[in-house]
Amino acid sequence: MNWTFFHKLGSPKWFYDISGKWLPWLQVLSLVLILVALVWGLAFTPPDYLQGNSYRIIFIHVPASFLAQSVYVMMATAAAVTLIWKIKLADMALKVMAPIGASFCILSLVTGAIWGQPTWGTWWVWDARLTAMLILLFLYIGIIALRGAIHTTEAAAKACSILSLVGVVNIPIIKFSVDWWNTLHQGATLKLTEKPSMAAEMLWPLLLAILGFYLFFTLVMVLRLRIEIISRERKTRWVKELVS
Amino acid sequence: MYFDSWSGFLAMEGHGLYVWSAYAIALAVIAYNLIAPLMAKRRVIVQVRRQVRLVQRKVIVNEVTTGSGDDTENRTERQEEGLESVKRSAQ
Repeated sequence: MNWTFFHKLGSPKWFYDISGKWLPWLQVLSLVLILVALVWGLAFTPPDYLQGNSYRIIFIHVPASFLAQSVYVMMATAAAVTLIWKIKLADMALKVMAPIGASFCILSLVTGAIWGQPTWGTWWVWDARLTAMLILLFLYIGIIALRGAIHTTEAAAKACSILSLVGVVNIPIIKFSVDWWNTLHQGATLKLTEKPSMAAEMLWPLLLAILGFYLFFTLVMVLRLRIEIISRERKTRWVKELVS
Repeated sequence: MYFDSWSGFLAMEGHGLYVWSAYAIALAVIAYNLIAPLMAKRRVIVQVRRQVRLVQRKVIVNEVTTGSGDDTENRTERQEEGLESVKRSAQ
């Protein structure tokens, strides 16, 4: 097997060069998909028979919630790679993913509250799903704050990795909270193993929105990672040549 | 299109405020995620450039004060350059 690929993968310069080619595709695809999905969801789908038009928030709320949780799992993976193999690029990824994940976690919580008011009659309840999601936001904020508090890069990498790994226990709690406890929050609409409990005309824009949000996350992560690479590799010749 | 009119689309049968505010906040989050890296990029590039200049100046000042250099001709040229840059930074 050719292992050079594996070594290249951890090289900041290699990633900087190759990711530059992805950017235009990511920009166009993610923004077009999000635009199409949201216009479709807002204007062209029929209202829900029970919730009326307020359900249209689903086209933001579900992608944002998926993303908030997936980004955390990706951070925990990057944390494991950082701790085991000491790959610099993994710690850079861990750093730049945190604010993106936090922003989508806030979006999920806020759109959930806005949806809750007309549907449940309240903005917020301390039920299992909502509380676990709030803890996820605190984890994101904790990881960002921890890195800000430690000035040595290596020490910050280690501390943030450990915190990310410990916090990942919250992810299955969020996922299964609607099954384990009696929550006000409804059960999962989309399941990998079963047919979705949603009409096709509502399902398609939702799937498009999810895909668009994930591509958008990839775009923002690549943009941020490239900046982090320039910042941390500032003493190398290729970065000096790049900025001058 | 599901709605009959623009006003119907905006009102969303009474749920307009909820739906539109949720979409507005989503737009704000997307905008933040696009603008934040652009601003960070500018900041980082300015930082790195400043650092490169600082190191270059230190080398020149060092050569001026210690008089080190490979050959006399080259030294005087670089000394002048260095003195100029020191003057410039003092202004």
